[in-house]
Amino acid sequence: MRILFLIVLFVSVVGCASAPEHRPGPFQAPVHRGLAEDSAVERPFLVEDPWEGFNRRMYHFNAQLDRYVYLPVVNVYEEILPDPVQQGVSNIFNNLKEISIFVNSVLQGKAKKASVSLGRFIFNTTIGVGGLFDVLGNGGIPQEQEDFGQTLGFWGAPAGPYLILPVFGPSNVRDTGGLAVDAVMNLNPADMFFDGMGWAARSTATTGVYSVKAVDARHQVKFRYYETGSPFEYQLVRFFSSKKRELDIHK
Amino acid sequence: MFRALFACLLVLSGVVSAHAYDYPIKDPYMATIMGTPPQYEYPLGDIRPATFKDLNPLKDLGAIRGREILLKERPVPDILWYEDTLQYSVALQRRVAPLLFVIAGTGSSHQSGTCRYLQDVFYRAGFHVVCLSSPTYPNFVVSVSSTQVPGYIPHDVADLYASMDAIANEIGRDRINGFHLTGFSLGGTQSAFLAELDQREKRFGFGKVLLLNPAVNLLTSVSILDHMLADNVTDRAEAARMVAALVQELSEAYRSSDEVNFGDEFLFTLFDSRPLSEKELKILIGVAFRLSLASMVFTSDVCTGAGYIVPRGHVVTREEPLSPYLDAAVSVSFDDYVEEYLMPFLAFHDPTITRQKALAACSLEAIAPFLRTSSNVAVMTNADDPILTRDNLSFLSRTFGPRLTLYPVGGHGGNLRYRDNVAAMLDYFRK
Repeated sequence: MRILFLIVLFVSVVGCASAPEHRPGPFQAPVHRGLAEDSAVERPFLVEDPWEGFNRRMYHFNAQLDRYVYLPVVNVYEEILPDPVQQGVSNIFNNLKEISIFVNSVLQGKAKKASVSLGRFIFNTTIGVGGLFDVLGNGGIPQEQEDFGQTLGFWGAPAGPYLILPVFGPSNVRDTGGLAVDAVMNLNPADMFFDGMGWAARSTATTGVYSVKAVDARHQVKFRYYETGSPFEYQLVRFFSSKKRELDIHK
Repeated sequence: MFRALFACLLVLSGVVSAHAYDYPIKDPYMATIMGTPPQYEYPLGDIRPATFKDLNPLKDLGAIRGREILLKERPVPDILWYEDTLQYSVALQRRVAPLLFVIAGTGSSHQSGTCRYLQDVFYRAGFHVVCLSSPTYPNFVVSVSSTQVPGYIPHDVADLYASMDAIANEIGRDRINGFHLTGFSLGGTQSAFLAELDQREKRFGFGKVLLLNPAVNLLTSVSILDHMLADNVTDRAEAARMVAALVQELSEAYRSSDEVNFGDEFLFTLFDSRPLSEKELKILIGVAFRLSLASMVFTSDVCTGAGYIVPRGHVVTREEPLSPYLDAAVSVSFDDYVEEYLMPFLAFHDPTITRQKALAACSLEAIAPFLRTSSNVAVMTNADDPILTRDNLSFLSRTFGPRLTLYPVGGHGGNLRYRDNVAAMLDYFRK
């Protein structure tokens, strides 16, 4: 619902800007290098991408959403709040993720990761004042990376075609399903603290928490669209994000 | 008593300045790729010791910020919609201060590691610092370049100069009490040309100019990079296979380590245990260069619509797969680019230009008389820098004399963060 609102707002913003069309200049190169694609060439960096047309559109869409809506908000957030406060907000949301990390570690039979995750949750929630301080992370025990997509991959589910999701970005069919399962396991702090309130107050508080969560999520992801500067960024991202997922599953 | 103390100090200072230069990586190609190991870096905390002000949680308001400025009101190709404004980064002091411009190296952005590092160093040292992308970087080609065909230094330098002027006005010239300039690699070469241009145009009046590992002759240096690939692999498939094998090796190491982050530390420990061969290093440098060249060539071709990579008259849409264009673009060497695209373009607009004239205009030799007599322009480079020939080095020492600082090792800028280098740079700009 909220996302829908954002998208409507965004389309109306972008729709206003209609620039004159770009035209080629008078100079014509004496040589044309465009070759017919040679299927015999080995392509070790190519990732299977049957939905490339849709994915590329979505990639541009996400980049525009970032530039005109999401990042301006994140930038204001980063300008007005001191760094330690931003860190505290990130810590609280990350601490709540431990639940799904723990569950997924258990589902994969990874005892060490599960115990790290459980220990982090207990200590950071108590000594770290509800997760505000990442006590164990500062002590050299960083958060593990596990999610339901990895659990599925661990048990042999194939990744399926590469897929760019709106807002979330690079993924694949398997991990998209995983996202939904993880979302169920992710607690909204509003559910715990705002129980006694009336409907209107609770709904406002929940929206507020989700908004901060969304801003914090973007703040934590250092990736910026088109920051590589290469017009071939889509291919680069496709290779590296797929490779990274593949490695993390076996880690 | 005082005399004895003085003598002691003299001896001590003599010892300090006479210590050997011991940047640890002796192989120039390894140095180029790996840079300076963290324990050998200049301790940045020494530049400006922490004060009470640092306890203020709002102090980072003055830190490095990305900015953008619209310089050319012209339509941008649809697939490059995001490159309409020039992106640059600033780190501004709160009081009036001198401003240092930093120009990035070939194909690099204002956010490249080298730029960020120099920005950090000189911001701490009390300068406003503005970093600009190289004119060979796609964002610059689309948003600023007047010809949108990069590589011809006189054109590129004119575009840089106009952008720097606009940025200085944007910051406010009343906040600036002097201008300095530095650049790395091709950015170093361009800095020399900028200094020369400024002597005629006089919009800045640069106090100090420092060229870091500059190319003397653009084509010579770039051909060396091209040959690193051409001399070591028979065809593209072999280069791709080698890089794929390295990626595989990295992946295995990452998988079997406990490391959650994939940062510099991880790479340093990895390459300590398994040093790369010279051939592998050369191929890596060559491939990296080719990829950035491919981005530049494709971007330029889309902007001019010249039909070099994309068929003339065809408009690339947002959903179109770009793999065939990437394929075509990575097959272009810099020599090809000059012969098949840059020269014909220059000749199209100025029929009197010859290949020789154009290439000569892209060499520091073209402004040698200016460089010889300008006491405010200095060079810092390495005797083993792979992009310089013996002739280039002797040209530098002939032209700059005592203003050339030549380190024995370091490759192409691998020693930029090494403590002696940073100390020398700080010393140069602070004097």
